Amino acid sequence: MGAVAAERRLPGAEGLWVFIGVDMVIFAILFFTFLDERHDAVALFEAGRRTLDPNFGGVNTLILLSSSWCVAMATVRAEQDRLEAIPPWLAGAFFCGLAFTLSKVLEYAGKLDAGFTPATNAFYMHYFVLTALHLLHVIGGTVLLAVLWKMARTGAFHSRRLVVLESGAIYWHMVDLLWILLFPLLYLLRAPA
Amino acid sequence: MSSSAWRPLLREPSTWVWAVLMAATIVSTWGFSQHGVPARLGTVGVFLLAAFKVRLVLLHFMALRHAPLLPRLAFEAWLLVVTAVILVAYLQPIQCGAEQADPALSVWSVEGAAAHAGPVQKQQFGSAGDVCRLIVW
Amino acid sequence: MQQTPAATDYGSWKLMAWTGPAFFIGFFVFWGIVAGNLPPMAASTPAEAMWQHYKDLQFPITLGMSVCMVLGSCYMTFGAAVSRVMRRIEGVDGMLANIEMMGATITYCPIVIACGIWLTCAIQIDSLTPPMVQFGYRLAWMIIDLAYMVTSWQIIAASLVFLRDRREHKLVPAWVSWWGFVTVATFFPVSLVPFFTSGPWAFHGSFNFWIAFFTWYIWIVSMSFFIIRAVSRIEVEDGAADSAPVEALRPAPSFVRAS
Repeated sequence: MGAVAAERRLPGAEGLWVFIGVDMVIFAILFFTFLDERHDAVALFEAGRRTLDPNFGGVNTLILLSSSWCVAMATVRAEQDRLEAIPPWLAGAFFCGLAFTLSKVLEYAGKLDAGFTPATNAFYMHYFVLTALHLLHVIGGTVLLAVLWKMARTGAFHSRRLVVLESGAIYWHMVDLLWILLFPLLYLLRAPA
Repeated sequence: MSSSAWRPLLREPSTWVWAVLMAATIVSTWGFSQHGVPARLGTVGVFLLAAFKVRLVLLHFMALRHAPLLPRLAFEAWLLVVTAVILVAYLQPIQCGAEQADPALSVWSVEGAAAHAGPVQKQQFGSAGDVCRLIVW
Repeated sequence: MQQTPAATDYGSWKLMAWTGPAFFIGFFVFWGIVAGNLPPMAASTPAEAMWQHYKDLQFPITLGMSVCMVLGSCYMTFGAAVSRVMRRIEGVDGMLANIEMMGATITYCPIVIACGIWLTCAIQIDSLTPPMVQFGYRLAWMIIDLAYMVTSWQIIAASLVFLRDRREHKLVPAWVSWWGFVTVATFFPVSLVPFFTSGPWAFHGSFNFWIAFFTWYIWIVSMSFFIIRAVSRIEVEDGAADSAPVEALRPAPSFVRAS
């Protein structure tokens, strides 16, 4: 009983979860604002949604999930003190972050080419702002992963020095988690005929 | 060769969590949201799967299953509230197109703003969808 | 108040720390309540309605804004108190403490300019046309909103230093620093303010006013609270060092070390 209680802890740096929690609450408020505006203009939002390509969103989800898995594996290897096995996993996570960014840039380019901008209508305003805010999180996280990768190659992480790696991992999982909800909200919320 | 390289990975719970997450994504993106599935049913399915995926990420990847009860409950409550609000907002009946879509953008000119005054001003807290905001505030 | 012959003047340090509450209470009352800015008038309000708003609230706005222009300076003195606490963690040559103090000081500039513009709209209302009032009202918002990055640097600098505090009980707890990072994150979408007159991204909108400004406000309130306590704690720490048997244990005042 006592042993179980002693094991219970929040991973990552002290106070980090305040940032994670508040960031998630802010995104929740943005989701609700989107739903609120959608309620006032269902037809417009449905027409806008149909111009999006769910293949982009779906593939991006797969990329971020794989990236999360890589980071999770890097943390597991650090806990097991298999130091040489940490950098490849972080490299994998980093390249997934790059792939997500590249895919988003292609998607934006396609939309702008087709004449859709944030000024087009309320749906496109939300689409661009929400995905851009998320993309900023992804870009920040990708830079962070590059730093972690570099640190891991110098043997900076092991079972007694986990805080930095864990904190980065938790942030990256949050970025993944937000996309898991943002993707269906923008791409898959079908209005009944 | 490759199978021996993969075998240790299969012993890691993270790998299985990842596999389930990938499968759930494929089902919701290229299954539930296809035209063959009725819109309401498919969409509710998509969001229930999404909630399931978020919970997996929270509990396994973010290790909240090993966390003290209070933070764990706080994050699970976040998921519950977000999923519930999305589903309620999606399923509530919608008044037939009486409300005109208010353009979110307007021109930054005096004429533009004056023209904006004509239609009914959109209330900060007024329309039916504001259940969402009230919960947050 | 205790007289200290040594280099550290705890009395004025504490006084400056208390200008934090003077700032946030004063602004809430005079900017928010007296001048009727909670909620602020919408960006999409037509010019005639803006003119009428200033006509109706001429005296409250004049009073509120003139008080705020004076009280805004307290953000600078509060920033100086924070900076001095940071120096105790960062060392006398620390750059981040400087950035924090300059960030706080420069934050006062857009505040005083914006309040001055709103003030002048109010006192001149009878000789202004509605488009002129609208121009002034929006101009002040653009200035105060898009100056956010200077405040972001202030908050980033303070958060980084307080996270590095090696005390068992940090002078400023880690959650305040992380809240600071959240505040900085919520400032970035404020860049959207010029492009919207309604919705969450307008300057009166749910995100760019209510979330961005109130996360900052909560940061100021919590930082003030812990800075006031930190000064007292540092005074106690220094006192303990003073009463230590070996005089050399006590850190020399900065001017001694510099020479």
